[in-house]
Amino acid sequence: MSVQKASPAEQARPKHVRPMGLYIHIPFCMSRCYYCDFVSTAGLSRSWQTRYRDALRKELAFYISGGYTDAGFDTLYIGGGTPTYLDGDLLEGIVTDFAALLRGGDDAEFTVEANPGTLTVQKLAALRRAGCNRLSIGAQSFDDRYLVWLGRSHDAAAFRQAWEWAREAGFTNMNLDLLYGLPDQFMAHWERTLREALAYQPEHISLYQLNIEPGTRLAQLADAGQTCVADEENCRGQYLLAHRMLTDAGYDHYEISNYAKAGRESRHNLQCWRNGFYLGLGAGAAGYLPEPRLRYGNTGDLERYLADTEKGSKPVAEQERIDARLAMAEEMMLAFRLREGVDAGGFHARWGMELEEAFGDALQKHLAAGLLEKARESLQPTLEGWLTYNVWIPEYL
Amino acid sequence: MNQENIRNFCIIAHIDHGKSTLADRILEYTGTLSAREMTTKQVLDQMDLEKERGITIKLTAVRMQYEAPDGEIYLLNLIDTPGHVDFSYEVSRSLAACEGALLVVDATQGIEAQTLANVYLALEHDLEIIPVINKIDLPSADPEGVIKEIEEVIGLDCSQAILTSAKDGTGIPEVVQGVIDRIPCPKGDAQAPLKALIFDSSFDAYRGALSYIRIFDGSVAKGDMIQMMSSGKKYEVIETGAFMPGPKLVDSLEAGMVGYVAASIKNVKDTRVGDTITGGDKPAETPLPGYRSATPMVYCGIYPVEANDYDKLRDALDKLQLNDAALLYEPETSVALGFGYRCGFLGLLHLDIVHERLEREYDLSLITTAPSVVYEILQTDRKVILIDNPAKIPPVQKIEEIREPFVAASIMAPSDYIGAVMELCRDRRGSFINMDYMTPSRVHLHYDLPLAEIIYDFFDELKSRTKGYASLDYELKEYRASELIKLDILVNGEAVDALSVIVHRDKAQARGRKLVVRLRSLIPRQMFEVPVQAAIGTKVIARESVKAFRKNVIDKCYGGDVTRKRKLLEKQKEGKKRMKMVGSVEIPQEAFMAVLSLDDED
Repeated sequence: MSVQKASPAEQARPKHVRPMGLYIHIPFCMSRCYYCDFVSTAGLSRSWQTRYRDALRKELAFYISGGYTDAGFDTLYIGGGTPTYLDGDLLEGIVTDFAALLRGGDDAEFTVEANPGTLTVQKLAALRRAGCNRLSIGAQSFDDRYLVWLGRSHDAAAFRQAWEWAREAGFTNMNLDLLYGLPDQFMAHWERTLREALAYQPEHISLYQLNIEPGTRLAQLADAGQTCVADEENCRGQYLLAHRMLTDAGYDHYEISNYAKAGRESRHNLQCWRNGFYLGLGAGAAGYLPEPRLRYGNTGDLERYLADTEKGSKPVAEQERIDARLAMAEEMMLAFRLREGVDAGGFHARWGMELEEAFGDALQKHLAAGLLEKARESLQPTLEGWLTYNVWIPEYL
Repeated sequence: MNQENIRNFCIIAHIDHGKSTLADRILEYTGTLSAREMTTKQVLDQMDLEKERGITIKLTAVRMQYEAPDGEIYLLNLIDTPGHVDFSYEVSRSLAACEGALLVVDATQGIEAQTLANVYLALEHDLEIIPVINKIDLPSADPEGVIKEIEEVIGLDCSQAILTSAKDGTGIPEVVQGVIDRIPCPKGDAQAPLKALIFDSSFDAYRGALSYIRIFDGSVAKGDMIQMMSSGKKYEVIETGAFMPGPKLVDSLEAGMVGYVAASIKNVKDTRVGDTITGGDKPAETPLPGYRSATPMVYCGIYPVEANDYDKLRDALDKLQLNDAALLYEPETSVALGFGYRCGFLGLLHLDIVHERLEREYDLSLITTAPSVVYEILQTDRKVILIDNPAKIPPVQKIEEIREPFVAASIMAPSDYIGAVMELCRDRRGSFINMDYMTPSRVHLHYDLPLAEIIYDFFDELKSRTKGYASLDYELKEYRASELIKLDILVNGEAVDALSVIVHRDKAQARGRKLVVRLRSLIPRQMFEVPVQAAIGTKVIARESVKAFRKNVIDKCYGGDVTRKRKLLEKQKEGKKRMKMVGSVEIPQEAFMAVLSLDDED
């Protein structure tokens, strides 16, 4: 169920109580991966974890009193960091707390991100008890040399074990993350990686090109000339190879970096890409609230987050009102990440303006350049369009 | 006010020799501005650009009412002058409105080529010159050496030179007293018909064009009818005033005085700098000697990035020209860039400043093409045509001969750098004329150089090869035939007229090579591969290609990232605003100027 396709009954309700996605950020990890620039701190003890749990509850209370939770949430996504780094009882406590906000029972998508090195049979059982029905496991690579180079805290064997445990615990909807564009990664190596990934029969696969983000350990190494990433041509080849292999294996390449078996798309993320609303809680989390449309981002500074929340103020570090023009632009930016693209009729229904009128010039240009293609009422990105997304998408902003 | 109590003077100085600071101290000392009012440094440099770059571009006139120690009240008018070689034309305008000049020389640096040129200009105007040796507070100051240099090089009597430190205020009272005692008072005829020289003008939204004038004979007041002697057009004066240093109304301006008149002059072209204003009812018989009109040395095309800004650009140029008589422009069209203007400038700094003022003050986004000098072309039909745009050169078979402007350049430098300066001049196709020693450690070199070689980073190169010690002055000498050819640049297979350059045959290969390499790095990658070629006629002499984007994707974009990723993409879009679509390729402003900075690649 997505925000755009609300039923008449839902539209009749005050808009701000329409259901949304809920995201919880857990900013803890066992150790910091060398390429990661997400908000997270490594190795924090139990006392920090309990403080953080209490802060999350307080933060939620702000939004409960604002009426944002009245209609419940469609999807729940607990990401990080490494949610499964939390001590088992705390993990179960937090997960159970927030699961109560989900509506739709077992059908509601409830994802938790997991890191192979931190998963145990006990934690998996706790997640199942709390109602978690989707697990996203970061494999990144099946080659221990790369895992060491990336600063991952696990080896390939740990992943295989975690995957097996998760299946045994009853998870039937699982995602597997992989990185490509690793230095000196030959095409044959990448092909082997993909073949192994397919062997696990994941319901969903995310593929990310390794980028050197400022401030990371890799960036320091790169600045010192001690490392580099694969060149653009290589990355293009790997992207195309993955597209071919995974679609041949029956996966739908439904978003720039994401593949899923039919009906196993990440509903929580689809909601975001379809420009829907979601509440984000936790240090470094972001949210998008309706009426008036507002995007906000929480402070990524853990101590600041705790201090703000404990003294009763919202930990929001920045926020921005999204007017109709900006919302339309964001909608294009997000929609062209999706294979389904933009539907002209739906666009008009949402914004009271023809798609052609709002973005005609850019659309014509990109159709002519083969970056977009027409499919009935919709405009969809082509594979070439995805490969050069950054180059042309700013024309909608 | 009796003319005997009026002094009109200007300051001649090289950049950085402390002219603006000295002017500030004089304003402060005469009580024109209190120390507190001098909140911003360098009051006379009004334009933001002037403050930022620490240079004077526009001349400004300030009236100081000063009570001398003997109780007499004096009107001292200081007319500021620019110090850069590009602006010698403006210097001659201010000199014509004065009776005397302060020659400010840095006690640590000595005379520079540009100062020398301006002193000669002042002597031509029969100005009384008072040498002022500034910055004597610095440990490396050598006032005696500098005085000796002035006496030997210029032949100016320095027995009464004034030693100052504008920074700490030393010598300022002596300077003001020197102006009163030594600069002659104006000797106009107060009863004769009005004769006033327009030495500058500016545009004011409420009062129309303001004419900055020096009254030689007669007087002018509100309600008077005046007429422009060049056009005969008559206007009623609605306001007379002076700058103190902000504009203040005065009842009238009389013989010998400096100030401004407003007369509801709507068209900026009706108050031409150099024209004489006279009485509407009782005109003078002959005008004052005007100025030779400024001759632009370099030309370039200025095009709006957005085609519909064309009218806005024209209005901006109209207004700017009122403040800048040396700026010339006329419409031109480029196949690559569309509609724009061909503009003439005194030099590269002038070009740079106009470009920046247009963008800042008129909120325009502009593309400037590489500057060119004016070439004389002798065609096979014996007709001689003038070309200020390489794109307009006739086909080779119609050309008998191409002639280019040569300048007589004068370069002063410490003798340690003779070799470096000579090597540079030789590289730039210069021919040596002579050299003389000003002092045992300083030389004065004379070269004939093609102007085209000077406008390309010659000055920067001179500075860097002499650690900043050399100074340069030049004036147009003559046209000479040279082995010149047009180098075309093709982007994505199409010749881009705005990128064409005229080069010496011997340098064509190397220039073409460097130019395409540079363009390859300046033209951003596009969705397809873009070949960049240099060609002479139909022969391609160099080729590079801008590789296409193969993969450029933000892989991760989830709920937490939307705003951040959007801002990243917006920033990228912002960078594209300064690019021009030429055919199907986006070319940034820097590409059009690439030819200027080729030597960076070495």
